[in-house]
Amino acid sequence: MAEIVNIGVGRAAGILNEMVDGSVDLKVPSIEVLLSRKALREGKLFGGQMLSCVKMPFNGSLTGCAYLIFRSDSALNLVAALTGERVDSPDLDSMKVETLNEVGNIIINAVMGSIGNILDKYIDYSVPAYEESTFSGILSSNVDDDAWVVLAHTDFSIEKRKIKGNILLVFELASFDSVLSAIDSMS
Amino acid sequence: MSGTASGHTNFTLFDSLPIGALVINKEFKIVYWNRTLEVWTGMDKNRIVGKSLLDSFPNLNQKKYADRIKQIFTGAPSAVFSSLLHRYLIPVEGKDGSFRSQNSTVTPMVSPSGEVFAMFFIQDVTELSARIRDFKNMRDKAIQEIKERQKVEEKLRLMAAVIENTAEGVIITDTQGNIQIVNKSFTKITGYSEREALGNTPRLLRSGRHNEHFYNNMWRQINETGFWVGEFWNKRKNGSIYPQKTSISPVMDANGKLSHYAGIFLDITDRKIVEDELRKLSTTDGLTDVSNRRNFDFTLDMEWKRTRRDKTPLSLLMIDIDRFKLYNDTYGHLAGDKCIQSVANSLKGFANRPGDLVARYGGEEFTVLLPGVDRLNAETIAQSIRSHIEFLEIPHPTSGVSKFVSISAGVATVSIDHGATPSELVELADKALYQAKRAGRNRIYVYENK
Repeated sequence: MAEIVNIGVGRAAGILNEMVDGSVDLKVPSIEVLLSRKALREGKLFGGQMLSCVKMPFNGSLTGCAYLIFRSDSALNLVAALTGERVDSPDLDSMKVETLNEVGNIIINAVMGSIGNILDKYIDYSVPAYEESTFSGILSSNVDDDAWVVLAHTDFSIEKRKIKGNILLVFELASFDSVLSAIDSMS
Repeated sequence: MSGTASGHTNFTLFDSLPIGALVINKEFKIVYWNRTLEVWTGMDKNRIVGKSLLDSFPNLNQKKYADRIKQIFTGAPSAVFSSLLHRYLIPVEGKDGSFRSQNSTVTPMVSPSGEVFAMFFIQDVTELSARIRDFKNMRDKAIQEIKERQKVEEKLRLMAAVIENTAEGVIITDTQGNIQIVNKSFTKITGYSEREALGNTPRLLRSGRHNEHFYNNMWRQINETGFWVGEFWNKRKNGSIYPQKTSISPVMDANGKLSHYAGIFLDITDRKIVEDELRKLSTTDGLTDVSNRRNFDFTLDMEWKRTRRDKTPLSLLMIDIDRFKLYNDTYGHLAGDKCIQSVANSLKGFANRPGDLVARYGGEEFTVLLPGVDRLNAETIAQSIRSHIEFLEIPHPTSGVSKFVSISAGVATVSIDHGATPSELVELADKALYQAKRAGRNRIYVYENK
């Protein structure tokens, strides 16, 4: 599973490398099974700081949500790097939503593309949404808080630009089973 | 290619859309090209359908396009391409030769037969971007203007503070002379508050010591040369009159038209006092308070000229204290000084008409200048002085001339008929004095002209 996510993340890194003048460094993802979404939310992952997040829920043969999360200062640095604007430009904030939406689109698509390719099943994606909130605010949803979740987590950074981001894939446990069985059938 | 055909028929719906729309299959072959794209690119759909998208638009071979589009066929969600990060997907030249800005979305679509297609929807956002850019420029310009205005205001505030707190009084009037602005020092010097001054004219401060001619001249110079500096007397609110040094200049507006007059003034009362003090010091003998030698020379010169002009006589007495060296030897220098002061005070009493002048000419030598006095009267005055000094009865036992301090005096008088220079008058008086001394002192000698 980590390998599949890694393939997608690697592809996204290649695309971003071309768009940003600087090498995008991505860590090998970690996979964790958590007792509940609530447990994840209450975890100490980001403390209470404000985050910029592109969020894309999906359902169908897979149910869950993909998150691309940046600390706010990293988000602005990334927008500056992609648009060529100065970091202190007053226009940066208005460009942020559009730019981060596309970055989220690139990374999430790459990862979901990898998974979809293996599953060969239909996944229905919702429209990506941009959000600024704390980590627990971002994770709040209508989904049953007590359902078990699987967390795929990786860090990526662009050292030269002082940018750090996190990609979180949250699968509900029932749907994750189908991923695993698909992977099993491949081997 | 069966899917292509079936797809093609379904896509004609997009012909009427005001956005660019195209569909490719898994092999990147174009299967649909809508009407809008025909208009934008000038490429007929019959010519482009069936060709490779990447061959037709090589810019899409870049990873950031090709890789992301490929993912559409492997189950990834729609890909978005913002005009912020990519100017365009399909190059469309605008009227000005630059490429139009596009926001594009590439969406997967599965045909009933299960074949996956990628649909491109391309929105031309050039005008929108331009409007946003114009708005930003407008905003930047507005911010710049605000900053500049703040700078100007800051400067004005600074200048106002300087004017308000300077030691000089400031009056600014309109062209009619109505006072518009005064500062703190104005109030301090004149005693009039701002409220009392505003709406009034500077005539409020006139002392009455200068005639209309003076003010007319001043205004003529201001308007002709753009500047006037001078001293005049003004009157404070409490009625006291004081000297002020004033500079007045016209102020022009941006079009070079006269808009205000600005006056800056300084109360120079203190300076005047010092000046008077200095003048007195420079003309007076410190010991006796009568004129010094320098002032005598100056005054003699003036009176000489007036005498010639007015054809009046001018008399000069040259007076010497008899045996003064012996007096000093007997009583000491302090007593000698007192003696000289007593003689000087006496002389002042005999020269009290305007124009008369007593001067200490040397150590114990005095001159008395008597304008308008003829020889006969000069002789009488000299005689009175001599007896007056003797009646002072200042003891002088070693004198040998008298028991008391006495003087000898030479008298010279000039009328228009003779005496060519002031120094000749002094010379004549001196000769007369010599004669008086030679004749035994404590007497006067009148120079008799031929």
